[in-house]
Amino acid sequence: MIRIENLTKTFGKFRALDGINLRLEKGQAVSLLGPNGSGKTTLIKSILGLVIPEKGSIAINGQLIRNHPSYRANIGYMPQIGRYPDNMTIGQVLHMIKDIRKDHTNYDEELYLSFGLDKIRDKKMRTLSGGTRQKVSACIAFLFSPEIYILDEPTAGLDPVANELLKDKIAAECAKGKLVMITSHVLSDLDGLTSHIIYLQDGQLKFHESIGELQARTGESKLNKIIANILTHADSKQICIS
Amino acid sequence: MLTVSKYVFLDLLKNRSILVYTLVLAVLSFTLLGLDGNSAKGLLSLLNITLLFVPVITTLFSAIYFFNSLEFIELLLSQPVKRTGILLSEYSGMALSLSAAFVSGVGVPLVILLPVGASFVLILCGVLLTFIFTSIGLLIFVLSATRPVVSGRRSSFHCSLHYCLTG
Repeated sequence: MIRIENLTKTFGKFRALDGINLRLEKGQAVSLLGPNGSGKTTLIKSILGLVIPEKGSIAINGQLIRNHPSYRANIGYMPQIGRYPDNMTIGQVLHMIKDIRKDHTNYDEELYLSFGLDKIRDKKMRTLSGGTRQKVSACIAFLFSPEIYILDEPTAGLDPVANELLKDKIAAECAKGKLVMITSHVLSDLDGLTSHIIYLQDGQLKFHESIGELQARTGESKLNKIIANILTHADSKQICIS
Repeated sequence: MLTVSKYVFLDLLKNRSILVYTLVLAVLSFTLLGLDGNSAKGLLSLLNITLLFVPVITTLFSAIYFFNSLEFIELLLSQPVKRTGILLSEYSGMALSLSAAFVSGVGVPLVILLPVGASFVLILCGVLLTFIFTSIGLLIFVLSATRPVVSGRRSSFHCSLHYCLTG
């Protein structure tokens, strides 16, 4: 579904992505892990077209993404920190996004309702707490029921109830055969949800395996134990702890 | 696209700094025009104020607003729209609201106290200056915001601007 070939991106002297090759298929729940500064956000932004790589290509469903913004109709993005114009209300933000996507009128408002956002739709974004803004971001990502979800630290800042609602929603979408890419440092949230792990470090792909293979290899079942196991057994110069 | 401009425009009209900008301009205009009987001097002083204030405030304010909206603009850009469309909508919302502030702050006193041809030329100049310097603010934003946060340059530039204006 997503085919990434030899993706390289340098900012000045800093090499954020170094020859990344990846293949992601439908129905996978991929966790994108790695230390801070390893290139996870740059990879996500490259897929979204927010960052233009200097080498390599990304193809989604066989179509190269360069210069064709229409492929993003199939991607739902939830940014790490949601910031919105101070004086707009929740209802106005959603109305603006829906207006940008005029052709798609079949809305998935499950999160909008279960997060209780309909009850506070007239509150201005300036008055909302960080966690509530995260809920708005999540709602927008799931609103158009896209084929691909890209969630950057989705559970950071959410209260436990909202956390569980979001995880259930992600699991339900995976069961429908969607591709979900999640970045998170809270590995326990990803337990039971994730099907594949991609580990980046210093812009390079260190490993990309399914959770079954990793569990068999390390003999652990919980994600943080698996990662800890791999990191301590690896050459200490090659892989560092996040 | 029009909806994005409309919402940016409406969001800015409720912005406290824009209201302060309008009020300051209004107070200055009324003072300068009411000061002497000589209307030509008053108009000249107002021209000086416009040429001084409008470029600086417009560039700074628009650059800061765009920086603050970076994450929101990224969210909009993750939709199936062209980058230029979104940036133009942000630009037009900003330019129109700053122009509205200028026209209310300077234009209204001028029309009340001195409705001559030259006044309308001044108002027009102010609006044109606003459009030009908003685009410079947008240029500053686009050039600096594409640097990665890793380098720290964007955040230090942003911080210094922020502290400059908020004191």
